[in-house]
Amino acid sequence: MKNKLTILYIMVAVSTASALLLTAVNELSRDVIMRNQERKLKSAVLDVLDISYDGKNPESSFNTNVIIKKIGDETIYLSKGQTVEDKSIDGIALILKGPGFWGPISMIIGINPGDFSIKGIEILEEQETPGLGARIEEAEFRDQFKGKYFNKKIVIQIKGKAPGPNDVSAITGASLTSKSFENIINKASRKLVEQITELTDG
Amino acid sequence: MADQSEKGFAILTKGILKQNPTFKMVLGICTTLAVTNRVNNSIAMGVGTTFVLIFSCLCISSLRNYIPKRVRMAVHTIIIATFVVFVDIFLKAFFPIISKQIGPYVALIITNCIIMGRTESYASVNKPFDSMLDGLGMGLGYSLSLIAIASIREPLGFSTYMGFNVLGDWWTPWTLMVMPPGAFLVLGLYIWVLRSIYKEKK
Repeated sequence: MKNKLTILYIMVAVSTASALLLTAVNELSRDVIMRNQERKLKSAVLDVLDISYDGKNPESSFNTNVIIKKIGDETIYLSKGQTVEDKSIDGIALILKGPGFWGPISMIIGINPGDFSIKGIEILEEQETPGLGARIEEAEFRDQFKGKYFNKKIVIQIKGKAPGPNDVSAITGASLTSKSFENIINKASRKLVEQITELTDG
Repeated sequence: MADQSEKGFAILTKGILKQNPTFKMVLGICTTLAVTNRVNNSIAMGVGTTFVLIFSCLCISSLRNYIPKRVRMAVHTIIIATFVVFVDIFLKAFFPIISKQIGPYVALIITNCIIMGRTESYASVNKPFDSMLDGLGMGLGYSLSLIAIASIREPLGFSTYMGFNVLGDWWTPWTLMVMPPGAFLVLGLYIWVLRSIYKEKK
């Protein structure tokens, strides 16, 4: 009986020590991690909207150039026109989310409001295979989307096939990640194009 | 004193060649197969695992006389997991870029058999300082093995080394090398070569 109690005490002591230590570490680093994430989001928004910013302080450029708006439960980011009188919007950034091959992929996409041509794509989160699917993060893949049209169906083709006007090349060895990527964009396109048109017209 | 440092040196170096955890004992193979398609990821994984190994061995060895035999595995796991979560939070807060690249694998360090193996077979019966050296040696052996495998896989599969293009355009990337079968092939070759050499010496 005494033996069993000792085991219990030791397990409780070790677990408590572990929990206390990790709570402290978590508490101390929470603000830094939150700031990192927010900064990453803001830099990504500025990147896809082609707005220049200071890498160490994206917040100031974000606050002066970007308006945050909600359509339903979607958050969209609008870049303001160049002058105060100019009330036009010269860029829209949307967060797109969907399932990847291994886990959720979320990305931010910048669009020109007039013709829906894509200004840029940045990946916020992905859990694809490092070196294969995770290459969706590489500029070589993402830059292919620049100038393609968000309001038309985008097709991700196997490398080497004759590309149509709205086609981009898939990542070799990561066909399923590429397919998921294509689905996320096209699904969002079907859902959001109309709403964006209403917003920019009105 | 000379004896002491000689003994320490022997403990440290046995993990690198004689008892190399990856090639000799074939432990921790899951992560070895997963991260070795890039040299950079291998280095980050090696450093993380080595850190966890050193501190888990130190901690478990210091507590070895107080941990009841019947629950030692549970206690070891809690201690190892504590350090792994610590590494994960630390990377997220201060090295967000590395954390993003190897994030999913950091949590897998908990299940790395090298750590369970060393804490069970060495740290739980040896003095703290020796255990720490043993952890460091095994960690280095593991890291070097990962780098050795990645040094073959990355150039052949991506024609790059640590992200820099080394093989030029004439090389057609051998995609198989960056997929799981490539890892099995290269690992098998290393085990074969190293074991043949070691056998001759005996």
